[in-house]
Order: sequence, then C-alpha cells, then structure tokens
Amino acid sequence: MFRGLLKIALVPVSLVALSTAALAQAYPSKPIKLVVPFSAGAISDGVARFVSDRAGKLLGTTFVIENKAGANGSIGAREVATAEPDGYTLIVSSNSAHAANLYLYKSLTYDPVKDFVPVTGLTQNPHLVVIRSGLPAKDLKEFIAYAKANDGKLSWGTGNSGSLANASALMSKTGFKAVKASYKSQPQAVVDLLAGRIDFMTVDYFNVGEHMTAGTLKALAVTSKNRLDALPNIPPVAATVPGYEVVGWIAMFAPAKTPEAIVGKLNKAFTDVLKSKEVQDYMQSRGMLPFPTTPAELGAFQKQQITQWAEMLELAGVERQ
Amino acid sequence: MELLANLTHGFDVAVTPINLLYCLFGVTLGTLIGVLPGIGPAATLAMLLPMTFSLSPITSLIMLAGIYYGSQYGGSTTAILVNLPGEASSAVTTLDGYQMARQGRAGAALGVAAIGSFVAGTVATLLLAVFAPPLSKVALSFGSPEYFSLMVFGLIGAVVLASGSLLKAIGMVLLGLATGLVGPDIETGNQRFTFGAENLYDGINVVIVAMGLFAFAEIVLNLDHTEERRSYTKDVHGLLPSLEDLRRIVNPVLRGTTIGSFLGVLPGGGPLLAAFAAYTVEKKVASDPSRFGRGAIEGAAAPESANNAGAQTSFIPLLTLGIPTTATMALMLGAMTMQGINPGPQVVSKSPDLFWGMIASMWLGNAMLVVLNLPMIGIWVRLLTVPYRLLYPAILLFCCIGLTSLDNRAFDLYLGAAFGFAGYVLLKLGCEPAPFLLGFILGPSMEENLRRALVLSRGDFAVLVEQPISAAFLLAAAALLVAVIVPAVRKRREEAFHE
Amino acid sequence: MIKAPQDFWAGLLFVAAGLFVLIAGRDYPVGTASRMAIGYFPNVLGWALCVIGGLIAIRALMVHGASAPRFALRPLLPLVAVAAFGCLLQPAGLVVATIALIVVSNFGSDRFRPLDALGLTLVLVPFNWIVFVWALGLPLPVFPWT
Repeated sequence: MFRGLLKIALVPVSLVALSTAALAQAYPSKPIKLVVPFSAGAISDGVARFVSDRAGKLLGTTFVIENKAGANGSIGAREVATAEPDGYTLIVSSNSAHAANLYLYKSLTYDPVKDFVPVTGLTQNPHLVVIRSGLPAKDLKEFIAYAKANDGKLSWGTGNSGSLANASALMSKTGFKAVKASYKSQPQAVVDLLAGRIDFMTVDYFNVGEHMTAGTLKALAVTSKNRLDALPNIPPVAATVPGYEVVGWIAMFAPAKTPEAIVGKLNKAFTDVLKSKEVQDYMQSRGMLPFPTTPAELGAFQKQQITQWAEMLELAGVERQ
Repeated sequence: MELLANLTHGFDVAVTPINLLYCLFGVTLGTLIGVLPGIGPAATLAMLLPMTFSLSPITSLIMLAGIYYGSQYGGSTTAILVNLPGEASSAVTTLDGYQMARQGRAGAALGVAAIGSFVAGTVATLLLAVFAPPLSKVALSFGSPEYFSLMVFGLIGAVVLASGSLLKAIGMVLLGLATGLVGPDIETGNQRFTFGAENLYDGINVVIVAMGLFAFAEIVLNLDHTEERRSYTKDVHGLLPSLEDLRRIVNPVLRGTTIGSFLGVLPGGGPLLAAFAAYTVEKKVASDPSRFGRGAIEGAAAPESANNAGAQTSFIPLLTLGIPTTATMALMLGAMTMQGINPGPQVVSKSPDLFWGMIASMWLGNAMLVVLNLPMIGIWVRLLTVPYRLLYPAILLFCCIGLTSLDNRAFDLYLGAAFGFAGYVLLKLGCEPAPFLLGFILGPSMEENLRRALVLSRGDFAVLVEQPISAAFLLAAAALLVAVIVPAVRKRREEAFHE
Repeated sequence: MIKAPQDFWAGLLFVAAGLFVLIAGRDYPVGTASRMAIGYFPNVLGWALCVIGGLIAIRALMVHGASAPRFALRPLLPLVAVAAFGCLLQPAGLVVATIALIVVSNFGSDRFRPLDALGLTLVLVPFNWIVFVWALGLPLPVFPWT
C-alpha cells in the first residue's frame, strides 16, 4: 500500500517537474520586462538597451525596458525582488543596488543576495584618475608624491558613490588627504575640474574622453586590474599601487526561485552577445569591459564586492542611513 | 564669410526629406508632450530612445532636439490655458498668461507666446552658430561662488514676482526652500526630512509640486464658490494678438531673448531661471508694475522668449563641452553616445555636419512650431468654451496620467493631491505659489553651492566677493532688494499717514 | 482686535511651518558658518519662517486687511479623486481608475449631473487608451486582469 501511495505521489511531482521543464522549453514565449534602476540615457541604461536588444534577437523575444531610478537603485531592486519568478521580470543592477546599498541603508527593503538569483555579469566600469591641466605631475607616481608633499591642500570632486569610493580608496592606500567637494553629478564635477577649481577626481571614461583628447584634462591611470584596450597608454593604478582594483559593474539578476533552466537560457544568450565583436567594440570604445560570467561566478563576485564596498565606503567616511 | 558657408552646409544637411520629416515629427510630438501635463520631454525621450537606434545620428538628434524645444511651446499652452506649467520654466508664464485667459484673451496670450518664442529661437540659434565656443567658456567660468550669488539674486527676484503682499511672498519663498530640502544631502548623502519614507529618498519631483500647487489648487479654488471669484469668461476677444499687443511686446521679447540666451548657457541655469529673470526685469522697467499678475501681455511675452532662448542655448554646453544642463539634456547626451557621437570641445571641427546641421534644423524646427501652433490657437480657445464642470475632470485625468508616467508609483499622486490641498489653503490665505516654486527649485542649489564654495575656499567667506562674477551678482541682489523694499516702506508710511 | 484675519492666519501658518522645520531637524548636526553641516540651513530657515510669520501676524493686528477665509469641503473632492486614481491604477487598471476619478471629481462641482460623468467616461477612457497606451506606449495596466 505504501508503494501504491508513493506511486500516486509521484504523479503530481513528475507533473510539476515536467511542467517546469516545459516552461523552460517554451521560454521565452512573450516579451520580458527588464527593470533598469538608472534614468534613461545614463550610460548603464544605454548598455542595457544595446545588449538586451541583441540578446532578445537570440532568444526570439523582445526586452521591454522599464526605467525605475531612485534611492540608488533600491526602488527598482525591490520591485524585482517581489516579482513573479517566472523569468519574465529581470533586473539590470549595479554595484549600488546589489552591493553598496547593503552598507548604505540600515534597513534595506530587499536582500541583494537572498531575494535574487544571479544570471550573468554585463560590464565592468573602471574609473580613470584624472587631474586638472596645470597640475605638475606626469604620471601617477609623481602625482602621489605631489599630493603627499601638499598633504591636505589639494581638492577633489565626486559626483556619485562610485567615484567617491574610488578616490577614497586611492587616498587611503597611498596615504594622503585632500579636501572633498561633492557634486550632484559627474559632469558637474568635470566642469570644475576643467576650470581648475578642483585638482583631481576619479571618473568614468565616458565623461572625460573628449577632454582627454583635447588635452584639457590629463588621465593618469585606470582603476581596473589591467589596461583598457581603448586606452593602451594609460597604466592601471595597480602598477603603482599593487593589488588595486576598484570597478563599478552592472549585472543581470532574476528574482529568487526563478527556475535554473530559465536562468541558464538567459545566461547563454547574454554571454554569447557579450562575446560578440559588435558588443565588445561598443563597450571598449566607451571605456567599459565586457563581463560575461556563469551565474555562480557572479554570485561569488557579488559577495566579494559587498564586503569590498562596505570597507571602501566606511573608509570614505560615508555614514549608514 | 565662413559663417555663411557653414550655415549653408548646415541647411544642406537639414533640408533632406528624411531630416525634415523627423524634425516635423519631433516638434509635433514635443508640442503634444508639452501640452500633456506631467509628461515631460524626459519621459518622451526615454520612450523614443529605442527608435533612435534605427536612425542615423544626425536624424535622431534632430528629432530629439525637436521634441525638447517643441515641448517648451506646448508647456506654455497649458500654462496659459489652465494654469498648469507643462514645463517648470512655464511657471512664470502662468502669472500673466493664465490671467489673460481668464479675461478672455487666451488667443492673444498664446499668440505672443508663439511669436515671442519664435523670435527668441531665431536669435538664439544665431548666437549658437556664431558664439558657441566663447559661450561655452562662459559656462566654464561659473563655479560654486558664482552659482550661489546667482541663486541669491534669483531668490530675491522671486520676491519681486509676487503681485501681492511682500512679506507673504518672502514667506512662500522660505517655505519653498524648506520643502526643497527634503531628500538626500549632496555632501554627506544623509537624508533630511524624509522620516524614513523610501519614496522621498530622492527628494520631491518638481513636476509634482507644480502640478499640485498650480493646477490642482486652481481647480479646487474654481469649484469653491464661497469665494468671490471672477468666473472664467466665455467671451473670447479675438483669436490673435492685436497690432497694439504686438507693438507692446517688441521690447519685452528682445529683453527676454537676451536674458534667456545668456542664462541658458549656464549648466544649472537654464530656461527656468531665464524665464523668471526676464519677468522680473519687465516688471521693474514697466511704467505701471501693478498690471503684472493681472494679465499684462508683457508678462507673458518676456518669459516665453526667455525660456525658449534658454532652451536653445542650453545646447551649447551640451555640444561643446559634453555637459548636460538638465535631466533632459542628459538624456540627449545618452542618445548621442549611443550613436557613437561624443560631444566635446572638438565637435565643431570633428563633426561639422552634426553641429551645423543641428543648428540649421533648430531654426527650421522653430519655424515649423510657429506654423503649427498659431492655427491651433483657434482650437485651444474653443476648447476653453467647454463648460468648466466637464473640463476640469479631463484636466485632472491628464494630470494624473502625467504624474504616473514619472516613476510609476501611486505615491506621486498622493503627494500631488497633498500639494493641491496645501496650494488651496495657501491661496485662500492670500499666498501665491510662484515664489514657492522658485524657492523650491533654487534653494537646494543655493545651499549646495554655498557649502561647496566654502569647502573649496577652506571656510573663507571672502571668496564670494573676491570672484568678480560672484560679487557682481551679490551687488545686483542687494540693489534689487533695495529697489523692492524702498517702495514698500514708502507705501507703508503713506498708509500710516492716511490712517 | 485682529484687523486682518486672513493675514493673521497666514502668519500663523508660517510660524507653524517654521516650528515644524526646527523640531523635525533638531537632531541634525548644525556645524559652523564656515563648515556647515546638514542642519545649518534648516535651522536658519526654521527661524526665518518663524520671524516672517510673526511679522505678518503682528502686522495683521495693526493694519486692516482681508477677512478670514471660509473653506469648503466639497471642492476638495477632486483631490480625493486624484488619490483614488493613484490607489486604483496598478491593481485595477486604467479604465477603472479613470471612472473612479471622473465620478469622484464630478461630485466636487455643485453643478454635477450624472449624465456628465457618463459622457466624460465614454469620451475619455478610449481617448486615454489611444493616446497614452497605444500611441505613447506608457506601461499602464488597462484592465483589472492585465
């Protein structure tokens, strides 16, 4: 009798298994909502649109972008955390919403690790260490020496938490202090740098590329581990400060409990797109590094980043809210 | 002459069938967006971004730019018709434009708005063509001390805006300042006055404030018959501005254009500051300032010219420095980079097609807008003759959808209703919303710049007067203050004398 | 005794607002003039509001002005309608929310006629759908089941 009961129990179980598999087989059968917690037109939004457009073609569906900026990406993140884990709601998140926010907000309304399942990384965004024209330093080494000789006298600017963390980490690892000026956005800070009202900042290539070419600003180093293909003449900070690697990143997550098969399909599509020449060129020309990973790799990376960002933000003197 | 050659080249680029088509599409859509309350160019640009993938860079830029300044035109329409600034910069147009509509002169108001905007657009486009590089240097010369002084000047001017009690206007500015503080502090990232509400973590969106204080409050007030309120007149006195009207607006339009062209270049200045600076100037040079706020045609023409001129010149820092002056500009920048265009100091020499084509197209767009908008005036005016009890639910509905389109959350609507209530109470107490809005927008910027100026000067206040531009604005602010207080004090003395 | 009631109440409102700012911001660090902290500006504002409000109220005791405003409740219904729209849009869709908005806000007018609400609904609901959902592509749920 027990065996009979077992057989009966197997029926619904196998039906569920079959239907999940069937679901994965049929996926995607309709447009997929992609929540992007940045404002439209922001560099990460552009990347999300570009990449998802290509991936959608591979998967035979379209990705509908929904911009939900706010609270450093928390608002968008929470929406996806509580969404149906059927693979039709995903999020392109960043080191803000899925790492730094855990430190920044004491009572975060979602759990960046438990409420989500990683799909794949998308890009890594290193910053450039940029100085105003007229500052007497030819490279990073000279700059650090100069800054130490004028300890506390230089000023720097930041327009977002990424550049804040980067510059603070740089200063703490090399041992000098400078006066911090905060701006609402990176472009505003760049204006003051151009005019020489601040001495240096860390900023993404996108915001300073043209000025570098015109010679009105000088980039000394890049904060990724290795040089960028697009900027072969700019050494990494790690060449002067061993082990230095601070990058922003964006990656795709799905709500927790999204079936593995669906995650696998998404991962394959997006990593294929990320490895294509078209996307590589797109990213490199904007100073970004393609970042394809397996779900597991992303998960491990995220955990490491949570720790790293907490450290950096604490060092930078940012208080938890 | 090189300029002529460049402009000709630009027109060659702009007058291709496809570019003309997308220019027309852009300005039409922009006007529509401007008229629909709450749905600003930012939301529209966001929606249309995917479309730009399939277009060539210059075509998509022409379309996006058309949407941007087209929405300025549309925003003036709602400001005049229903006291709702479709764009924040149209808030000043409501002061006299809406009053003109209530007196049955909506047609004249809409007409001068369109004409003033066109003249301003033409002049500003020319300035763009000739002075782009030097003007961008101006943009660079404004640092934190200069912005602070500019804001102070602006806030003192906000007090001048009010046609009623001076003290209450100051109070409203202060109230607006305080409301503007809600949200994250720039320097520390800490929240102020948000009381743990996550929805307030990015501050309060200006659209919600404008919607509630201006449009919603006005609807409630109109329904409130306990007030002795001149009813919305149905008689329409002519559809277009008269020759007399046109004669009166010549100088205001010129002044407004000049002010707008200059202020639009400043990142952080833009059309709004330009509009109300122009209004303030008009009020001060007028022979009878008491007409302002009650339907003075100059009070509608000047800000309209200013905000359109500002909208055009705000492309200068965008194209030559790659610096967006507003959120909408940031979107355009994003669109440009997606197309592989990197604006910057060399955009004029590296992409002449783009630069001159855009300039030519801007002028064409302005021309299209006038041709589009003038005939529409008849339709708008006729719309106003619909009985109010049928009109206001429709207005309400469009406003609500507009608010939803901001961030897709119900909270914004609740907040809008709350501001509507606050606006109603304040209006009943004789306090006007315009100074509040200006305090709300300028205040946080003023504080941010002051603190940053002090940080960079290591705590030295002298930097505010040592820098020439900053000193100039502070002096002007002081002069404005005196010019405002002296007549008021004199009036009080007369009142006391008579009692 | 109060010669300008409207001004008097306006003044009190400003004082109340000033007190609110001061009390709500009492825990914020103030800093100094050369090193302003987040509480500096709010403090200054709070005091300034109280002073202005006080001036207005005192002046109202001395100079004649407008009489006290009378508030009506019915005209506030459009605001309730706005809130209702916000509440209903996501769960119930555009159609239901629009109907609710029209009906509730219609009651705000004392010239309300039921036919108005019907007419407006029939015109506006399809119009909205065409303009906002179909043409502009706003992500709005239309029916309760979408």
